[in-house]
Amino acid sequence: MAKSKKQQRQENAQITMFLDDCFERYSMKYEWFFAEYDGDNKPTVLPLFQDGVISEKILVRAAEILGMTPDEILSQNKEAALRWYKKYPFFAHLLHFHNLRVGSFHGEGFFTAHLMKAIFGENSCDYPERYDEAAIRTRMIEVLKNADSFLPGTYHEGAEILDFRYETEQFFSYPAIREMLESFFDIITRIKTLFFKAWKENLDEPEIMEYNFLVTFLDITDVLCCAPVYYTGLKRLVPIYREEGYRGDEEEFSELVLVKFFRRFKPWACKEFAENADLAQRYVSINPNAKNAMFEYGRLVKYFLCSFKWSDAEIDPYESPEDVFEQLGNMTMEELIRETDQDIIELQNYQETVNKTGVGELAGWTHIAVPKSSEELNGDGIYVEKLIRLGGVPSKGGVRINRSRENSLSGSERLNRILVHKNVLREASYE
Amino acid sequence: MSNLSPRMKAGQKLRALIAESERCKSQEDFAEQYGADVRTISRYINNGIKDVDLIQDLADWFGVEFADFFQ
Repeated sequence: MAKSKKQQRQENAQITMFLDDCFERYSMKYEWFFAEYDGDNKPTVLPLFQDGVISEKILVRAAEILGMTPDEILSQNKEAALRWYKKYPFFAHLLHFHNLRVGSFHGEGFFTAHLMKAIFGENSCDYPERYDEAAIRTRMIEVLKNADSFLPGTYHEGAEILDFRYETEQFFSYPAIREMLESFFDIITRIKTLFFKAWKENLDEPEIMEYNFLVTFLDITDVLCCAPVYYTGLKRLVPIYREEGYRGDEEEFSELVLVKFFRRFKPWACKEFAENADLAQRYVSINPNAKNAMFEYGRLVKYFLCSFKWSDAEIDPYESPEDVFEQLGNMTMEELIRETDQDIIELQNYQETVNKTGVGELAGWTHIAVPKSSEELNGDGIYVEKLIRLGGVPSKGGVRINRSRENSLSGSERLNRILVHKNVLREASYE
Repeated sequence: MSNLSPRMKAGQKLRALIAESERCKSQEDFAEQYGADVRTISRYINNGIKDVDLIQDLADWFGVEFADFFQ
């Protein structure tokens, strides 16, 4: 019997909700993948159903992203939705870990406030403030005056402090960090296995689904052109990698792709990580950049990193690569790299910031670190020391990412490779 | 070094700290560990450092005091 329009609408709404849940189960959001941006960078989410008609393109893409089949999405197959969640305990841990971390930003009373908001509405109460902003600001002025005695011009006598804000971090407790990371190590091992298996032979359907899902979740992109390397793209890139001299050995993984999830995931935010040197060491061996990130996190716990603008601030042109970017005006990224031979990642990060906030937003800011008092550290000091030590001992392991081949390329050689990789991955995404 | 401006002193101090440190073997090695481009480090050394927060960060990295960058 044919469904009525109302029944069809209801079913479409259920499928949409099911799809949203699938993303959220893995700490992702549908709109990260399906949005268009206008000139002001405002996103418009592209729905799965538009006026009751399904977008086949979105359906197929969503299935690829989630490691499911289109039919599994349409039939709201809960077992399929839980496929990776059940295989890797990491995902259940991650949700819990994330909630505790968010709670730690606000201190005691956060979860009560959260509950109140859920029951009585968003405006029913405020989240508790963990630190006294006025006191931080007062202490910042003392730090500025002290710094001015070494670096004249740091303190602007008589000027106002505008747009004051501060950033800090703190530790929280997550006793199951070892179990969580064991599962994460399994995920990393698996993606590498699938990546290099696909290099040599075709993967079967379940392997392709798992590979694609892990590429999405780990945010794996080509190291040069920063586009995701899904299975179809990888198969097209392999001959190019070979031409570039790569052999398909496992140690080449970090030379070929970036795992951007590493930038978002901060296992060192929990005390138990800092206390477990062996675990930290194993983590560093899969993510060498973690050492520096651990050191920086330790600083973020130790200080309030304050930012503000002096009311009499002069816009100071930024030094390279920013000043290069400004001087060269409206050049494309490709032209800019060709002209300047600047560091690609640095330029891309800078361009992303400019795209989001504009050059003016970057200029004129003063940044300064204000040490926390022992009350504000609330016992975190001991973990800061441990983390900084773990992050700062180069002799204690950490595989080095081999960038020698990449660094030996001239600006234009590198640019040509970027364009080749970009085109290949763009074509693959249209298949 | 006494005639140098404070920002140039800070740059020269960075050069000395890199040379003396057991944590890094060269400017390239420091750049890699510190998470910056080697050209950026070279710019700090040759053009000086004017940002307070950067000097604070470097002081923490090398385990020295902020004031040490100006002596």
